[in-house]
Amino acid sequence: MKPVTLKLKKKTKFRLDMGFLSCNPNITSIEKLKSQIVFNGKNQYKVTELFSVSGSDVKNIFIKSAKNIMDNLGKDMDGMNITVHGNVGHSFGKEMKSGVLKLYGNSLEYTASGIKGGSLFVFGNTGNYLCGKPSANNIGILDGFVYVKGNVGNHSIQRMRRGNIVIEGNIGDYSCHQMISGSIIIKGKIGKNFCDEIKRGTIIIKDKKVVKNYLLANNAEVNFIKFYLLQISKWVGKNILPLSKNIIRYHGHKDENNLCEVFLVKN
Amino acid sequence: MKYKGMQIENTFAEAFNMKASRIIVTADNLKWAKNACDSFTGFATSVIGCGIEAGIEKQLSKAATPDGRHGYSILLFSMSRNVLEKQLETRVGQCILTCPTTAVFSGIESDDVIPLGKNLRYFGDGHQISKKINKKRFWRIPVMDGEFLCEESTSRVPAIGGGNFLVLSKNRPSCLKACEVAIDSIKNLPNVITPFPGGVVRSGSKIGSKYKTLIASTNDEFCPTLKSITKSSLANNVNCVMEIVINGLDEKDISLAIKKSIQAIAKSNIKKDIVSISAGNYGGKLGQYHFHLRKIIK
Repeated sequence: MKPVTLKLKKKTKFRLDMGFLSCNPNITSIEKLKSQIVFNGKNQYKVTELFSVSGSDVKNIFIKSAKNIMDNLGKDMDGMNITVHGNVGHSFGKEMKSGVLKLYGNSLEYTASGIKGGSLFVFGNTGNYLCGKPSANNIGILDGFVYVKGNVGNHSIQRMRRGNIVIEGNIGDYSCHQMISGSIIIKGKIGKNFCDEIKRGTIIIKDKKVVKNYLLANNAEVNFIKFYLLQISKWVGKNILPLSKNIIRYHGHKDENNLCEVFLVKN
Repeated sequence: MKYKGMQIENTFAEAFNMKASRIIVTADNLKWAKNACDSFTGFATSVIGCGIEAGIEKQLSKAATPDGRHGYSILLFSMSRNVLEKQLETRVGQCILTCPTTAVFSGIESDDVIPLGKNLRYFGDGHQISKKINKKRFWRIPVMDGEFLCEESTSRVPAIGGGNFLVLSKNRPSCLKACEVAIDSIKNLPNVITPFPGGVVRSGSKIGSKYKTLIASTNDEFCPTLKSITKSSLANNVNCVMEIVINGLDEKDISLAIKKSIQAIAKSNIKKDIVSISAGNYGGKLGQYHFHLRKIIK
């Protein structure tokens, strides 16, 4: 079966809720997808009225020339593969459970908000509140893998419970707030008030201004770090950080009572 | 039947249903990975007295291990799930956790999950760290050389234990040499192990004994020293018999291992002293699997 390919053909100034692609368990065939009703402003359209549709595998979806009016793409996604070319709107991959969601473009606020599993790749920038707390939940990321090639906005990664995040670009202010556990790699610069009220977790960074508040642990060999970077490189398909680089471990905050572990990768 | 001038007896090896698991042990270098594996697989020759049968399956390249270090894969076999679980936990705790620089990972996947580092984590006394990567949980336990990394669980799969063949020879040096040739030929064969020391057994057993407390005793039918006083299966010119026991994940794996081993002996110069190749069985009534030598070698 060929993957379903969608391309927006009708111009609209209102926001589009694309959650129907992944939220509706009744869409089991291409016919049902084509007859699905989509709300746009005060109007209702069938999918075929808004999009040109081809292919038949409704569990594998390609979206071409996406626009940033498309919200909730991949919302609650479970066992699907969605690949998007173009920019998308808010709540991309919100509370997704499993599957692979790829975006070759930029996304707006609340990307991967409340994600529970699966893998989400953004080969561009994301707005504020990446892995932010969804309105009805107190956990920003419960599990899963999130990769952002570009930069990330403010207030990102709130109350991270579990999971793995890789950010190749910079991250904004007030990020990693109240982190409970999980692992994060940030290759770029880090904004103000990073890791406030953090409890535990592992952070691998290159920006050394963060580590001034942490206690230098030791130079002991940590088997985990090499293993972890290898696993991440398998996920992403390339080496995120070279293993040969000198990595210094910090463990525990100087002032606060937390068990956060920071690995500083020396340039 | 003659195979390349070597007599193959018209008999079969009798093997049993077992449960198996695979783990991957890595370390900073091969020496320490081997030390850990040797310790783990020590005293794991037969379920009769050791609980499990275990052996090094093969050496793994850096690219084949989860953490990119040198390593070995180990297969372990048992008759029951509980014994497998208990032995795995005990042996990992005493032999791998204690060995410098090592880490241990699951090497097999199925729905039947058994604990690997799940209970070992308590050794960390609260300082252990959990990491969940790609639906698998790993434990980082602080130890004196840094940290011990282990996967939380591994899997259990159905397997076969007790595939075997006997090398009947004119003298002991040639018998041992033939067995060494056979073992070398299946050294890195996937999905099989030879759990006995060096892969070879000299004390083949039969079921039962004249002593009521023993469940197994010497296989007098194949003991050259008893030829004159018992009902022997040995020809006059046979003066030494050794057995190679092969456990594997399925029938194909064991058949292939038996075939390769016999072929290796037949190709070597030592075959001139080998009288025949036979196999151990219990009349076909106990084991679920029969490996007929002539069918395998055809």
